[in-house]
Amino acid sequence: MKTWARIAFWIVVAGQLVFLLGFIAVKEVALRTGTEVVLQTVPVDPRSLLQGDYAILDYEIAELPPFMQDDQVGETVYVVLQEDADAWRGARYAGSLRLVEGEVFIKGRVDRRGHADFGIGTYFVPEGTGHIIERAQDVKVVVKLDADGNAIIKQVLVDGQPFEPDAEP
Amino acid sequence: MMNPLEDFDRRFVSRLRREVEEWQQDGTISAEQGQAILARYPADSVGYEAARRRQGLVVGLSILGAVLVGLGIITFFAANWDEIPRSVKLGALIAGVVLSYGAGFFLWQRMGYTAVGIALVLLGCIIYGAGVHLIGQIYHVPVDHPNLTAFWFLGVLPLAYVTRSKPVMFLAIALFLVAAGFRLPHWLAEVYDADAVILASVMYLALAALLYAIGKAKNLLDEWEPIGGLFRAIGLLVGFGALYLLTFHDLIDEAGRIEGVDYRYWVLTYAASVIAVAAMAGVEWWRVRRGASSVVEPFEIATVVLLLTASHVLVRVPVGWEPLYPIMINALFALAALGLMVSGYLQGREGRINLALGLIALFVISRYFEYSTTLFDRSLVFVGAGVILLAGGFLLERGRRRMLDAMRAGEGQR
Repeated sequence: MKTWARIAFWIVVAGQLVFLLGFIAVKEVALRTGTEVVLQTVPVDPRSLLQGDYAILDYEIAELPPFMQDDQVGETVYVVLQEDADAWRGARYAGSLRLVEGEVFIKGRVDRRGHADFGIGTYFVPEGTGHIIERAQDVKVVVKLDADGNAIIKQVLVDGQPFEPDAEP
Repeated sequence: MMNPLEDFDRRFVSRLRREVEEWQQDGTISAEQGQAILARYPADSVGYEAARRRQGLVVGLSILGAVLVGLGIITFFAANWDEIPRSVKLGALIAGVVLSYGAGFFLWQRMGYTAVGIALVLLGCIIYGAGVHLIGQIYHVPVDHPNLTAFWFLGVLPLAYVTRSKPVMFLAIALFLVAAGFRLPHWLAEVYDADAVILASVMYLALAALLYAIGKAKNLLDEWEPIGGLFRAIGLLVGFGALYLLTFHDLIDEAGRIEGVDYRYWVLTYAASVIAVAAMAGVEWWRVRRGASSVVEPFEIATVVLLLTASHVLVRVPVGWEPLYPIMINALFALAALGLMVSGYLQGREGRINLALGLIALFVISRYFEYSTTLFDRSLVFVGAGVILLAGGFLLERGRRRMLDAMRAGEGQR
């Protein structure tokens, strides 16, 4: 291996490490600085070969209103959220953003006709514990939202309590 | 310290041996001079062949070891034990990446253990990919997020070029194909199942043509020839795999009017097609300028253009008579497989001939089952298929032997 190739080898390895650390940093910043909301969900329990067991979380706010039923897949959706008794609900839906001071919103994309995806549809759990979420009566998700409406899951609440993998179903 | 086998160019020695025979025949050099020239290279000695076989075993074992350890690490983290704190998991992954690359580089570059060193670099690439997915798992990035495999691919690809390692390049190409596949559910979300399979096959056909064209381009440079061979081999396998799926008339029959496809699907498919054809034409132009052209290359370009055009017609052009589609694709599959066999014969590539014969056998058997199940009793189909296999096996073996004999006779005459 020539000298330039040896140097390039370590530059690429360093690039990989920087990417991994950057990936962590972006997610940590979102978790620590975002606005916290609680969203109502409906889960099921499949498995990923690379990442293990996870629950698919579908959200009440993902159902688009009638005037957005014909929006194309991939189009951006903004949902202005309003705090209710036990969770935040979708108060206003729009394809572009016009905010009133103090409003909290989440950004998503149309993933199928009449439905939006907010990038928080997967919750990974320790192997063999997905049934706890699957069998729960009520599942809510604590989500952090950054200034652009991007969401990251902070915690899952199972029947009002933080998800505990060791808990008996 | 360099491994003595690492830089050894077997193809050069093989070519030199044939040249020396010709020089001897036309009297340019004497038999003694020919022996003296060949004695400078160890390829003809029994010791070299034995060492080469041992090296192959070492490479195979090392790569298998790296893949198994990598799979073990991936599944360990996939188990997602909550007893292990997040910071410990991430620290272990990053340490694993550094240790694997460090040990691989040291063994390969400092100690001369090329096979084990490269295997550890490959392991580092796998652990890096595990790291990308572990971070995705920890922060609950959606499991179908199309960027995770793309991030893995983008990390591995430059390393594949820096190391010029076939196993690392194989991983990079595989990740490229998988990353493209993970985009499809997003791009084809509003497309019906049969249409989605057709569109996926058409996209992979274009990507296969691109890989094959890259392999042809690398073939121009001797130092990249082994990597070029890998690109061409994967291009052939993926291309024929995609084309094979399209030969089933049931699939075409179930297809509807294809619409609602994300524009990015068309951008990728057409860009890959255009670049593939342009690259192959450019390579051929370069070869003609150097006086190295053969009958095979223009035929290859014509075949690729024909296949890509047919796939375009299949998804974009209503011809008014539906049965034309499966007839067209089946005829092209048979033509391409026969062309592969002929090119293997003309270029003396036994692997291509074997692949072509396998594809033809698969094609015949598939059509037999596809068109017979509605006409015959199932038991008759199995008996018929068995007879076809036996008769086909006899004919194929006879044809293969004749072809290989002709190739060897051709080599002997040179």
